[in-house]
Amino acid sequence: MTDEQKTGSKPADAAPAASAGPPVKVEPERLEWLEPKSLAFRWDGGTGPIAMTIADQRTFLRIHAGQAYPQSDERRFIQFFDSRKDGQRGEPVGMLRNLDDLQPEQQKIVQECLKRSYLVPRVLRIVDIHDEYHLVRWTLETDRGPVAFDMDNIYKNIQRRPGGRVVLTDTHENHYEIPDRKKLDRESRAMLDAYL
Amino acid sequence: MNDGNPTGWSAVSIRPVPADIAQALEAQGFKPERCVLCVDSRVLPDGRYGESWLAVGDERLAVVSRNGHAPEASWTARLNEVKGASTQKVTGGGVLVVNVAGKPQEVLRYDAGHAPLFGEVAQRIQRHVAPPKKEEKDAELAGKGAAESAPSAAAEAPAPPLDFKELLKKQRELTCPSCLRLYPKNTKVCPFCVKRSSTIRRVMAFAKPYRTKILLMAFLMFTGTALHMVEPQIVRILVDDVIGKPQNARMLLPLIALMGLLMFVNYGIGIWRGRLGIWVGCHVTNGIQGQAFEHLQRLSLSYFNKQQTGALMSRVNNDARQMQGFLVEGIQYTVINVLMVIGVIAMLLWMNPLLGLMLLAPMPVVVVLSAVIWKKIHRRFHLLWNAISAATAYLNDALSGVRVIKAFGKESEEVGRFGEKIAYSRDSMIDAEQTWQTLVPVLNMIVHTSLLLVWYFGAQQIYDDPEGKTFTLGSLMAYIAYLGMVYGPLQLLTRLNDWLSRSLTAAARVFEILDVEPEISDRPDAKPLPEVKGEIEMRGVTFGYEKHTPVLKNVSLTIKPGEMIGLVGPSGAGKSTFINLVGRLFDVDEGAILVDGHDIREVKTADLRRQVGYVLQDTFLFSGTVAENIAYARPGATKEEIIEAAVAANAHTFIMKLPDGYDTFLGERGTRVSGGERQRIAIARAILHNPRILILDEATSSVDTETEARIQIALGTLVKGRTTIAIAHRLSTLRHADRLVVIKDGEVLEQGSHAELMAKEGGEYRKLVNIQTEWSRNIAVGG
Repeated sequence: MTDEQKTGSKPADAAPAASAGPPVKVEPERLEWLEPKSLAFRWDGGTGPIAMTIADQRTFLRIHAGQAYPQSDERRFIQFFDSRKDGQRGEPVGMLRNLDDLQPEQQKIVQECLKRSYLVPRVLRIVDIHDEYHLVRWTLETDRGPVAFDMDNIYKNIQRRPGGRVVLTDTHENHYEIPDRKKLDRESRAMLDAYL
Repeated sequence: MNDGNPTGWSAVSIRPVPADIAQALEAQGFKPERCVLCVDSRVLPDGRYGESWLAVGDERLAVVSRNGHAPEASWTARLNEVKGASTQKVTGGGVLVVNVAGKPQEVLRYDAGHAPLFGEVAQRIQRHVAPPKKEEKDAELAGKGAAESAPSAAAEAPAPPLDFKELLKKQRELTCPSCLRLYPKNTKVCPFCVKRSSTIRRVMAFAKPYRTKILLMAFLMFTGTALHMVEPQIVRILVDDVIGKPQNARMLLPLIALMGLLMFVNYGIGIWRGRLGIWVGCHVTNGIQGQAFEHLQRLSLSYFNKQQTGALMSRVNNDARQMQGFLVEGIQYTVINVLMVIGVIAMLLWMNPLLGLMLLAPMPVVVVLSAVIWKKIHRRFHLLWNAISAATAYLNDALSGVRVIKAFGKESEEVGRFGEKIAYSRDSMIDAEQTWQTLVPVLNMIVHTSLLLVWYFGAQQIYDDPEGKTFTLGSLMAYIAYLGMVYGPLQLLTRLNDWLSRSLTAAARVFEILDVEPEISDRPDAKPLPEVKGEIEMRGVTFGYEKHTPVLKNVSLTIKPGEMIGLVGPSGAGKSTFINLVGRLFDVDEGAILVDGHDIREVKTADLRRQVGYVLQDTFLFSGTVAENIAYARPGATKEEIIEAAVAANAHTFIMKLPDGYDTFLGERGTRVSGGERQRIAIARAILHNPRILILDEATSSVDTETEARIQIALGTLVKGRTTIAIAHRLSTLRHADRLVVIKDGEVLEQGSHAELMAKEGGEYRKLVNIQTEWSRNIAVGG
């Protein structure tokens, strides 16, 4: 945040004096739309940090990124965050309207950045689902490789969303996403439908 | 009811005045032409049910009740001695209290259904004998609002005449003309007078689009039954002409093949008919359900205030499903079984009238017995069902209240209580199932004894007719087959009445919703409301959820475009009612509300609501994504607009922290958000809606100071440039208000800026602020 705004929009002198306002100072949120041409990203590959420079003036050595609409619009509205000292996601820096406005190699860096913050594998194929005592054991192929996990309470942990989306949650609160149930192969779909 | 309305009285009564009551009144000197009102309360002065009639004449008032035998006047007073009238609410009804020469007298009791009537009667009498004057409170009033709220000329205004014509007309519309009972609230369908036939006709109206399919079903039923009738005849031929005559052995295979074919066709027809039936039944129910839901959405808020949401849900779902059960299976079974019974009886009589009559003799016994037995069984299953739902309800309570149970260390008591409940349902289940297991075989046994009759009398007939001219062994076999076909349907038909009643009640309950008329609807000549500047004027607004107990009394107030008004007052003062009226969630009883000079009752409601936005205390989030919830009032909003609105509502940062950002699923089975976050989503929703007039009923009492600060910032953005009416439960949240309006007991008490109101010695606002300051100081010290 560069410029500071005063808390509240109306003059505070009209406020009831007896019950003084909260002592906590809170900044109103602002959103900076980033100009794609002014952005430069750097990544040395591997698990190294991703850096961003805005208009050759502000440089963030380690940034985080996240989509505003990771489900419905994954290439647009990308929010960048500064990094805190401990490496956690920090203050928001600005938002990019469209990933496609960047140069292709820059896009790749941002995508790598996004991939780091959004760990929800997409299910490509269901290999097996079977009941084991009170748990359901799932064996899946995902875009991040094969995975097997257990699920309890199928009513809570298999969630159907509009557009055929299904979100699975395992006993460790990991999420697995089926983007569109109808686009699964027939066998996978038959197995899944038995649990919906 | 009693014999007709003696001449003249009908003009002043709702229900016809019985002759003896009229006589008693006339004996008291009342004449119909000199009376303005003659109504009864159905409760005697001692509280028992009976007839008590209140008559209001031009000079006198009287109450005549039928106490045991002859009606007599239990109370009478001269009108010029009446100093006032009021009603006193008691549980289950009320009492009309008339002040005669300074002494209040309880003159008439009435039940809850009649409370609105006598409430208005009392109000009118009160207004006649003591026209409203400027109240004593005026002395305390200050500011502009006070002068507007009660014109001083009222004191000299002449008393309004005692006129009940309009009230009588309204009440007559609320009374069922055939049984003279009051209709249940909000509907004009009398549950006592709903005819089965009319309900069936209405259900059938929903079936009309599917009539070709229904005709096909009827045809299939008819053919199926006819084919069933043929089977025993083939058996007869088989026994008499093929098995009994070895020379005809070559006919054996073709006949069996014919039987097989018949069977095949019959089952085929059964499947076809069954599938059709389900299709039609589900479509009809679905149509009714859809219409009921659509109608519910159109109804005014006042309807939902008086109905339990659970009960409504059950109507739309369970009752519709119950109807569906009947439509899908009931009608088919009924028709098929009736056809079957008629067909079998005809066949039995046709084959051998004498034997037929003899065999049918036990039929009435079976019918009566099975009716009795079913009643017994049904009652037990009903008890069982109750026991099970009681146990379920208890379980639900105990599990949702588990924190309280643990906090008080009552686990073992609760286990004991649950034990009792399930023990009861266990016993009910044993009782019901054992009765079933006993009575059903007994009934079957009785049915089967009639088979013994067939064997005996059939054999006799064969002995008497050795040549087999009229009765043969084959005929006997056919008889046995026919008897097997008739007793099953007979038993089913005895349950039909019960089934039909339940389904029709369910249907009637659903139709009841369809029959409710929305209280607030656009007038036929409603004008479109152009984009407004946002000026609001309340002109002498009086309103009560029950008309006889006003919540807002003669409120007048003008709000300038862009002005922010803070409503202050103790709970129950009428603040929420005030804001509900502005969006026309209810219609005012007296006076008018004008937006930019347009009476809101004269414009299209949809236009008005588009320009009035609400941010309510209990922010409701629908099952859907964050983005969908924000864009609820403007489904066409772009993703960027949604983000901008969230930023303005100070909600963007927390939304970006949710697992799926703006695509995060909220609601019952989705991600949970805190109260403060919920509120900011609601504020973002309102910012995107962008109404000219904004109504805030915000609750910030349950959030921490930091969250409150965030909400305050969001509200600051939201109210900018809009006419705003805000209810604040904490005075500190009114910092943005241009003017504060203090409401108490439905009246505007004070208005002005914070400083002006604080400067007022003994002012209501000052009192409220002091209480709150004291309160927070105590917390600060104690906490």
